[in-house]
Amino acid sequence: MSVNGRGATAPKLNSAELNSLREFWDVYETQFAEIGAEIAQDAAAHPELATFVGAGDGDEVAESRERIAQAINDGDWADYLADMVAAGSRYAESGLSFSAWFATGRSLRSKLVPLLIDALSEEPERLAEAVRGVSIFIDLVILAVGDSFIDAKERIITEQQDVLRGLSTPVLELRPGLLLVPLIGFIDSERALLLTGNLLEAIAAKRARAIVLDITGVPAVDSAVANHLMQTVQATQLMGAHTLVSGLSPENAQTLVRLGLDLARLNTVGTLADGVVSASSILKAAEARAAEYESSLA
Amino acid sequence: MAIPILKQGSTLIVSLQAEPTDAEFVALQRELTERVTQTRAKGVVVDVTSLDVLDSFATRTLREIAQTVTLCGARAAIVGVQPEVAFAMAQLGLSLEGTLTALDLEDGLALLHALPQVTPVT
Repeated sequence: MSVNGRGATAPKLNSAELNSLREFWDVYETQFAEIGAEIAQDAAAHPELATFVGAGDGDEVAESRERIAQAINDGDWADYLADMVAAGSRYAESGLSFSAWFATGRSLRSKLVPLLIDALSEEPERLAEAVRGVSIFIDLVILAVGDSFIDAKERIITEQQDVLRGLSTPVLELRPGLLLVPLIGFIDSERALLLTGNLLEAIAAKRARAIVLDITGVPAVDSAVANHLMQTVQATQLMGAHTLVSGLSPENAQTLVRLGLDLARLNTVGTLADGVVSASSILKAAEARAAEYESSLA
Repeated sequence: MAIPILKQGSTLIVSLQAEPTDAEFVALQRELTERVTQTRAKGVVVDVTSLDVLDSFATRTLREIAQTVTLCGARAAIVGVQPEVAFAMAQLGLSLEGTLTALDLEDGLALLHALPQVTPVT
C-alpha cells in the first residue's frame, strides 16, 4: 500500500486490501451522515478544530460519500485524494497543529469500530476484514493529508526565509559618504554573499568612502565567518572605500586568536561608537582631500 | 591599438576601455613606466570604470604597474572598480593589496594630490 499525496495518485492496493476496504465501506456507507455529524460534534469540542467545523450541509456530505464510493468501488481515488490534499494545505496554512487534525482521524476510527462490531458480530471473519479496512482507509487519508500538510508547511517556511533574508542585511547611510551595516544573527556563506553584493552596490550608489560593519549582534565568529568578513572588507577596498569592523566580542576575539587567523586586514575597532568616530575622521580626511584638490585646480 | 595615456599636470591618466588583451596590458605597463620617467610624473591613475571583468592576469598587471611606477618615483591609483567586479574579485581571492584604490577618477586624483611628494633621500 502506498500513496503519493503530492500528485494524489491512486494507491496501489492488493486484492486482500481492496476486499477489506469494501467490507468496511459497505457498513460505513449506511451510517455515513450520522458518523460525519458525530465527528463534527467532537471537532466542535476541540479547542483548535472548533473554528474549522463548517455547517457541513447535506450536499457536501453526499459529495464526500460519492467520492469515497468512487474510490473504493471503482478504484478511482483521484477526486477523493485531491480533497484530502486540499484539506492538508488548508490546515497547514491556517496554522492548525499536526496533532489537532490527527485527532480527527482517531475520532473517525473510534466511531467506526463499534459500528462494525454491531453490524458484523455474527460473522467474525468479515468483521476482521472490515476492521482491517478501517486501518487501511484511515492510513490512506492520513498519508494524503499529512503529505500535503508538510508540503504546505515547507512552502511557508521557504517563503518566510526569503522575507527574512531580505531583512537580514540592511545597509544604512549614517550621513553622506558613511555607511553602517549592523549585522545580527549567524552569518553563513549565503548571507555573506548577499551582504557583500548589497554593500558594494550601496557604495557605488551613495559614493560611500567609509563603512562601519558592526558585528555586535553576531553570536559566534569562527574562521568561516572571519573569512567571509575579510572578503567583504577586501571587496569594499577594491572600490576605494575604507571598512572598519566593530563590536567583536572578547570571547570571539579570543577564539579568532586561538585559531591563528591573521586579521590585521579586518581593521577592527572596539565598539560601534568607536567605529563611527574612526569612520567619520576617515571620511573627513577624504572630503578635505577632495576640497584641497578642487581648490588646487582653480 | 595602443591604450592612450593622457597627461594632466603631473599626473598620467589611463582610461581602460573594452577589456584590453594580455599583450595590451603588458605594453601598457612598459609604456607607462617609460612615460613616468620621461615626464617626471608624480601620479598615475588607471581608470577601470568600463571594465566588466578583471581576471587574475589583469589584477596582477595592475598591481605590477603600481609597483613599478612607485619604483620610478610616482604613485599609482586604480579607480572605478565596479561593484560586480569587486564582488567577483573577492570571490576569486584576487586583491589589489598594496595599491591605492578610489571610487572614481575624481577621488583618485584627489587621493594622489594629497599624498606627500616623494623626496629624494639625501
